[in-house]
Amino acid sequence: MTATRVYNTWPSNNIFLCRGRLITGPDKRYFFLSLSFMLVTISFHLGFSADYIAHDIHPSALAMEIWLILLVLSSFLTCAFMDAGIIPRRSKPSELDQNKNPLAKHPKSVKITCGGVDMTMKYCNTCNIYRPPRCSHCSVCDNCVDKFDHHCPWIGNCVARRNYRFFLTFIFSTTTTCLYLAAMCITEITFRTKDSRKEGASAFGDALGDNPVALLVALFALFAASAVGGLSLFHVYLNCNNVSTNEQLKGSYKKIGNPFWEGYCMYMVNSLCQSKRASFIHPRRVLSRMEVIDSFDPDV
Amino acid sequence: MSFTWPGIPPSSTVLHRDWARAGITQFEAEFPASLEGKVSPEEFRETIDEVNHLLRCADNYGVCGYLEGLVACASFFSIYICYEGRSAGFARQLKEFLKEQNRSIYAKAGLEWKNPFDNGLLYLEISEN
Repeated sequence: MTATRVYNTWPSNNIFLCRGRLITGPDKRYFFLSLSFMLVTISFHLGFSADYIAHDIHPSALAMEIWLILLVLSSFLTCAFMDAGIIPRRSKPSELDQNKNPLAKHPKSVKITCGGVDMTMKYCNTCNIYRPPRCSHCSVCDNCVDKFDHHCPWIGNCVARRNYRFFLTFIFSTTTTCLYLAAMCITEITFRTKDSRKEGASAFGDALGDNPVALLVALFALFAASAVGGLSLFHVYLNCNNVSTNEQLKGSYKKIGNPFWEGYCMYMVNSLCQSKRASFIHPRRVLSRMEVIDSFDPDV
Repeated sequence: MSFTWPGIPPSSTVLHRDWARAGITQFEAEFPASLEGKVSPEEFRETIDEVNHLLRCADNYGVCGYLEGLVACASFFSIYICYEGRSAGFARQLKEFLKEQNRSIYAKAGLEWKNPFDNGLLYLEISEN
């Protein structure tokens, strides 16, 4: 009989893969859409243009391209299938705990002074915890997540403390890769037009005929670069202000000041280069018999 | 602190987070009244100081952390298949330290320090067996 593990009785909306080794959000439709956009563009570009770039432009240009593409795909997949910083749910406090006087023992919010700034920790009725500063409840995944930034539908996962770094790497490298791809395609079309023995528009037509996909890839890459580039600039702005997306949208520190200030540049450096943090959840932990029985009880 | 965390038995001692420094995880190091007579303040101090030290190391951004970040990026994050990460390494050290302290000092007094990483670094629970 196989053991029941934590991920078998997981209370929120997350999906687990590889028997609890990978965790992601519930709605993966946009994830597959963005993955297919990337794979189709990359395969068309490499299929039609790789040879030309390697021989007629420079082999190192192709090497750089492949390096950037691998960085985009690896950061995308790491961000999508990583625990963002989920805080484990606590069991609902029973009436015995609360001494028949619920509000007195567990008020709706608690005041603390964090780094010299007065803040409130609100009680989360779903997770049964007081949310620490920067923590937010993700309504899509139905979890409280530590240092919550936002839930990204294109990745299909929350972006928070543990995977913000991979998210930043993804958007910056995607912008760079798209611009690089567009530059390569435009260079290829220019070179092919020059190499053609004809003049003017027919030379251009010849170039397009030799590689029909290059112009499409260039246009799509420029469009993607503008979209993801805009998002990248927004995140550069957020990092310079030392706030997360969630805090920026709520205007959390406008009146009270930001206790998490690390510096205009240092915050970005720390966000990008920080070491991988420990996870609070252990999806592959084997449950004891009592825990398995408790997991079926809706009141616990 | 005037509030209690739900779901904790009343016999447990809870050390709340010390929010004096916003970016670094620390727990209150004051000797709780409920532990009087069970352990000496010196033993408690040693344990809590080491816990806070390891948490500071886990949150710290040092040269080693930046190096890990650059190597991870250069290797397309494949180093994380076999390497847990510097910060996660300190979390594992904390878990082992608490296990060892429980075994050598606190089991005699019928106490057990629970790993704060298991509850999301919200509080530090010292339960009574």
